[in-house]
Amino acid sequence: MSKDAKSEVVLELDNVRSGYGRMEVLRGISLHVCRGEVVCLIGANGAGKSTTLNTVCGLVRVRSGEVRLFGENTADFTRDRLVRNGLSQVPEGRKLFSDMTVQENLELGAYLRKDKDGIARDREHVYSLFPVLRERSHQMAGSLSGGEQQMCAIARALMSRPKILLLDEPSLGLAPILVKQIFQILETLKDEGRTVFLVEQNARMALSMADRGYVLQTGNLVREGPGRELLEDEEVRKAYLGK
Amino acid sequence: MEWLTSLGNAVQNPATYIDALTLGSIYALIAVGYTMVYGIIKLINFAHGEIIMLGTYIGLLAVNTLNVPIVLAILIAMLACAAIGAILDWTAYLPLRRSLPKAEILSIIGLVGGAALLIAYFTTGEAGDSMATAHRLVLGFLAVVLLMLLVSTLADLLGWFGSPRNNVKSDRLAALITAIGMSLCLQTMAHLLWSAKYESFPTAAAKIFDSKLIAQTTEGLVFRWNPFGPPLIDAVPVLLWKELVTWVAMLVLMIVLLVIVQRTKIGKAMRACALDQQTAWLMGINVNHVIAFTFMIGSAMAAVAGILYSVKVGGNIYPRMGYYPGVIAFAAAVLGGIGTIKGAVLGGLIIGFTEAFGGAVAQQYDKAFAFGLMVIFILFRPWGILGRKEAKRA
Repeated sequence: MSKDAKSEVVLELDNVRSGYGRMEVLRGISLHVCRGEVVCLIGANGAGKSTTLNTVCGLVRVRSGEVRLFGENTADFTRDRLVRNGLSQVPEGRKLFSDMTVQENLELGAYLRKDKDGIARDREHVYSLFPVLRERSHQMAGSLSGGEQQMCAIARALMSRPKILLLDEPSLGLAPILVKQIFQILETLKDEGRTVFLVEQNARMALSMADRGYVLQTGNLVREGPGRELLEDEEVRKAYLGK
Repeated sequence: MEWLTSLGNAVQNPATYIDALTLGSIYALIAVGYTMVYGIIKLINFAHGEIIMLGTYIGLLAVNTLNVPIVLAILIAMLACAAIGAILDWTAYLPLRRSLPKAEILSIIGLVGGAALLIAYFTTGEAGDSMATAHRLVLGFLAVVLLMLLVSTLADLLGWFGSPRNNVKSDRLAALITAIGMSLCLQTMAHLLWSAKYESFPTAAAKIFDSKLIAQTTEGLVFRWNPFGPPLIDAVPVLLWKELVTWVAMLVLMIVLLVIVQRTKIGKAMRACALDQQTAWLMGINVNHVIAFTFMIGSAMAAVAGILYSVKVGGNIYPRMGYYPGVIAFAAAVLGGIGTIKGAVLGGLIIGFTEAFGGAVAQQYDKAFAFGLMVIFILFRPWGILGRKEAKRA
């Protein structure tokens, strides 16, 4: 914690409550992500993981508490402003623009940018991270396989040159070998020094690569700590790692 | 078999084809506006016909007051209609897309629909009716407020509000009803502003358009490239300038439109919004701006179509003029596959040909042929010629 406290806080949730209709899903959670950190949020189905991300990106309204991006309360942000201020999301279920080509999807990821050279350089960079996307750049995104689609979604999110990358269940619905591949990519992103907030059901994979982790249980954060530590934690093991 | 003879004559007469192509081009220009708006927010914009009407009136005003040539009037009308289209979206449809509580949505419907109906009722009295317009407006306004209160209270009592998560379908319905309300509202406004009398472009201004490009004389076909030269008085017209202008306008605008949609950044954003608005927001695209832009493009096209239409039929500028071309172009958009631009063009042309040839057989039924074709076609292929069957998604 002492090391984290010194570096800049990118994203911060301060006692956030939110939910749908009469149902309150998040019951006052506080967490933060610092620059260059990979932080993961794990929890069972229905614990509120996706709601957390949807609250951060403005799809679900904050009822009390604050979501802060670089210290600014995001309550009055329009949703495009979040992207402008450096937040980019890989949504659950990929959500590619299926009737558009891979390249067009990447261009849309860079929608707010005007530096043509920078965009071209970043495109080369994501193509080097995901060589298969270069091969398929003129194919419709909907025609890609599940794993390729996930790569395309991550590549698209990187194209905005985000200061923080949000990933919602990137391993969902993928074969084990592809899950491994996706986590290798996440390792690469970590080595590049990117700031990542990862929401995952695959707790083992997520915790073993994350700097820090939070455990969410029915709308409350019940544990937090370095990834390795949580991996060893008796209760976490019992509840989420099946041992 | 009289009708067969008339059809045979029509088939052999080049004038029918010219007429069909001209009508078809106009319908295509209008249909594109319907199809683009539907593609992006799944709304049949019933006020589109009124945009046609407003565009034509603005063109007429430009010609009459600024003395500009019609071509320039068309450009002015395009710009003005683009602005009107955006304003229409911001005032009438955008409030419905924001996640307002249901009561407010219903109040807005009540306001817009009720206002239109009541203003229409109170302002279309007999000519020379002594009741002042202001008086009627005040009465109308009071009635609207009453109606609003009534509707939202009733809806509240009946529990129509439902749970906030599954209101997607009813939101679309609310927008549809609002569109009908806006249509009536704009028509009534036009009544108040310009009265219900028929107007037309002054002969001097329409001269270029009405002059003959190709004509049949006793010495054979004559080409007259200069529209400003002395008119060919005795010659039988084969092709008029206005017809060529209509075709070229349609072709050029469609190419421009396709280039915008396929190649430009805003075009890609439009396609992205049509596919998935939630994700478009995640890209940093301000979806509401993109939707407004879509309205602007469609409305500019409608302005061109409206002026060319009134030039074609020679006059016919009045507050309800947008109804027929609007509704027929809507049929064209459905026939071609609503949501697809190429489908709208194809549908427009097909409807144009049907109307022209059908009209040659039985003049008073020309529009019935057009609608009949659409109805029969969508019985077998409801998603239209180029449209795609809506896949059931889990």
